[in-house]
Amino acid sequence: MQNFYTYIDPAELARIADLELLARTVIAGLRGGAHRSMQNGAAVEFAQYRPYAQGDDSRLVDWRLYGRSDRLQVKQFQDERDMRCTVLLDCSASMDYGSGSVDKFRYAQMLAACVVMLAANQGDTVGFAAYHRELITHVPARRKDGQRHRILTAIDDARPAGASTDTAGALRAMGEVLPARGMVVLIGDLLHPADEMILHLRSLRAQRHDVLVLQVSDPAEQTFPFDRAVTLVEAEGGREQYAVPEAVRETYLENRTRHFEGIREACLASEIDIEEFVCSQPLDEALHRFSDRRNRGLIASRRRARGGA
Amino acid sequence: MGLLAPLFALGIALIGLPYLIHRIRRPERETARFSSLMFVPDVEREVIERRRVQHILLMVLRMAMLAVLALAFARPFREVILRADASPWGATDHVIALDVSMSMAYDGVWARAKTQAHAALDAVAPGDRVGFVRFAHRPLGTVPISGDVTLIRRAIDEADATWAHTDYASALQAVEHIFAADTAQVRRVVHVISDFQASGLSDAGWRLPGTIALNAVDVGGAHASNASIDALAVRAIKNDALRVRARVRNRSGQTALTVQLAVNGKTAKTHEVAVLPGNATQVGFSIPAPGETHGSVALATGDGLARDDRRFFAWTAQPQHRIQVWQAAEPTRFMLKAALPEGSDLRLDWSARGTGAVVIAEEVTATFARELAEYVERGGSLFLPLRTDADIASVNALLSRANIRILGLRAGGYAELAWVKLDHDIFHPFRGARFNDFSSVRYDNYHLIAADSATVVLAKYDNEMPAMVEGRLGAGRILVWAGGMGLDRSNLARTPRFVPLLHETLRYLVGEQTVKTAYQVGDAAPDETRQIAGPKASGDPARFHAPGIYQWDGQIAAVNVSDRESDLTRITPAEFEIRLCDAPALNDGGHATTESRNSLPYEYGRWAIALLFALVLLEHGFASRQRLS
Repeated sequence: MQNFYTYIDPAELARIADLELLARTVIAGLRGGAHRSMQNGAAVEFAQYRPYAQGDDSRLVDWRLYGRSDRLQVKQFQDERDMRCTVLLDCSASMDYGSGSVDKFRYAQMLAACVVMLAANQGDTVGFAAYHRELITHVPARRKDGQRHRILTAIDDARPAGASTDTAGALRAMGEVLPARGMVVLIGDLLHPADEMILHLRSLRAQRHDVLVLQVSDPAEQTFPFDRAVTLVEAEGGREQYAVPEAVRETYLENRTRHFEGIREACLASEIDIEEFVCSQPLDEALHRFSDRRNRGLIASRRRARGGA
Repeated sequence: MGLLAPLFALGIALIGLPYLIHRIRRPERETARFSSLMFVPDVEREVIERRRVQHILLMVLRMAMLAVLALAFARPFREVILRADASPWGATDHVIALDVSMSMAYDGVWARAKTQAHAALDAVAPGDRVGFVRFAHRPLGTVPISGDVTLIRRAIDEADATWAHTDYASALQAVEHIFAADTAQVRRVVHVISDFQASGLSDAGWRLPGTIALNAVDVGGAHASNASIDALAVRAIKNDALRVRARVRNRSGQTALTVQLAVNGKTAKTHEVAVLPGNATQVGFSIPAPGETHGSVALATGDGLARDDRRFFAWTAQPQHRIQVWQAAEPTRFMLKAALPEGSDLRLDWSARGTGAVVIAEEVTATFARELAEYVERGGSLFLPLRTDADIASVNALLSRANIRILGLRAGGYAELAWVKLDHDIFHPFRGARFNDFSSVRYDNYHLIAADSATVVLAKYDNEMPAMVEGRLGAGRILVWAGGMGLDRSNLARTPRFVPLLHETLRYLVGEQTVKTAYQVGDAAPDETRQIAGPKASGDPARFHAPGIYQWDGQIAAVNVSDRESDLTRITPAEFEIRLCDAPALNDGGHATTESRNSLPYEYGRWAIALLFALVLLEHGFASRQRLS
């Protein structure tokens, strides 16, 4: 077995470690951590007042407020809980493609390992699943010794295979087995029909999961860089098609843009974060960029929440 | 149509190569793996058909390239019919170019040359026309092309070897002019009869056009040996004596040579010199110098070419000029003494303060500035090499009247002499390409000079500031060296340019016109020139046509042969053809058979190469534009 630490350069890990992967919505957890929960309880950070009701702990009454206003109000605090994070890795054959030194699957493996390490370092409970037509590996989120090692080993053991991908099926299966209110990180190239996949992503959101989609692309897919006529062989399925670059490039790029724009719009409409990672991009830089964007989204979400209240 | 190298034509078989490559490397057979084809649309049929045609065109282009390449190597040629209506007997124009340079006087060569010239003339078929050029350093006589062979025969008979050197390019240019004068489309052949001396080739780059065929007739011997006096210099030394130095170059097999000095027609001295074959040595003679004398240095030992064994000299005592040195410090005095020795025509005078002579002044005080200004205004010449510690106010008091102003001293960082006014008299010895580079002269400190338009700037530093200027003041003139001549200021005095530059500066200031006393055979001669010594020869009276001593207008001068001509190193006719002719040399003597005389082979090799380049460019452009492989 390959050492899983090869996925994460220690220097990269050191740079990423000062980032916080913050969930955008408050989710329930089993242990105090860095993620906010909407469940109010006794903790250190004040949330709001509510009128005193019979049976409330008298220690929670704000006696100073009572002295000023003659009203009995009880303090409520935001409880800090940890997060249940499940990483889904697309192992379809289309991921086994790369025009540079790092192919998409390798890049996705590194990305998954980074997410797992980051979540585990925050004390979150981490799970992992790999799929192509069906779920091929599933390590449920557990809090026990060696869980991180098991997941990284599973990431390392995963191989791209399969003639086709069924992301929708994998999401449906995960939706059935995952407890509600967690985080689901989907890592894949999203090169399959979008409608059903979006449907199941929405159903995950409906289960109050915080869903992140990390789309992995190769630079060649973005530019179609072929300069002479060639017969293209599809990585997923082995289908062949003759292509004259100058004749098809424009249409290819239009089709591709339309596909991913559709997915992006649907995701944003369902408050699902989606970010594209290019294999030529340094991993840490990509994670920094994504983290910044996500934090900005979180702030906006809080403001919306306050305004709504 | 034929091929000069037919075996290369087999290379045409290579045109099958592009066909095979195009069949093997079909784009349909080239595959590339791609992640997903879900966004890749199908290619339209029309696009596929268009590309198929483009591929075929590219293949044909590449086949053509290989065919042309093979053809270029095979050197195709075509017999050009020069004049379709010409009679079978009158289709060739000949020009006989006879070398009459001095080297042709080598033992037996001239006789062979005449024989060969007559032989060439005898071989001219009835109906052919002939012209004639007699050449040495330039065409000395031409006979236009005509059918009159007797004219040419007479010209050959009258020709004789001259004392001039060889220049083949000018001779062949004359040949081209002779042919150009006749517009008839006929075969043209030039018969060059020469000893093919290597020194006769120049680097001018001119070549005889390919429409003129060359018949090179070599009349030189297999081994030529020659000893010569190839340089001579005379200068005055102390006690009114002359030093005559001659360079003896030995290209013969002898090792001991006898050198004789003759003065005014009488043998004065004889030296035996030992010089190894292939080497040269100097021989020196000291003789008393009356006001005017002439003579020669000659090799008494005979050799194959006697004409370069004697070299003449003429000496006219130059009037001495007084150079007054006013207010110069010891280092400058020392350098002046070294640069202007006794016996020089420039005599240093350290004490007197007279008029009319050049004054060298270095330490200029306020009082002295007034004195110098008066001296210059009266018509005197002043040479002012500035010292580092010069009193700028006093110097400016003097120079401002000549529209020159010293701005200050520049020290720190050196400046090179970047530009000199080569057409000025003080730089005339430096006009040759080998001597005109002054950039090795560096100044560690120098005075900055501001000069107006009335001032002549003679030299500049690399920062464009004037380094040497000349100004007018009254009837006289002032010449200033901003960097002086001291070794503490520059390395000028250490360079070989210093002494001649100082001499010429002072000569210029005294207004001397140098009398030229040495000429070369072929140079233009002044009117009414009279030869008083040397071999007699007939020729153009406007030029010196033989070496010797000549007189005119009370002036005397020596005329000598070119030392280039003494080097009898030869080239082969093949090399001559390569260096000077575009057309290949003939090996049938230029007198072709009746069947072939009306035509001239015209080779298309160079056109094939040009076509190949064009095809390569076309293929590259087409392939890259269409992105075809």
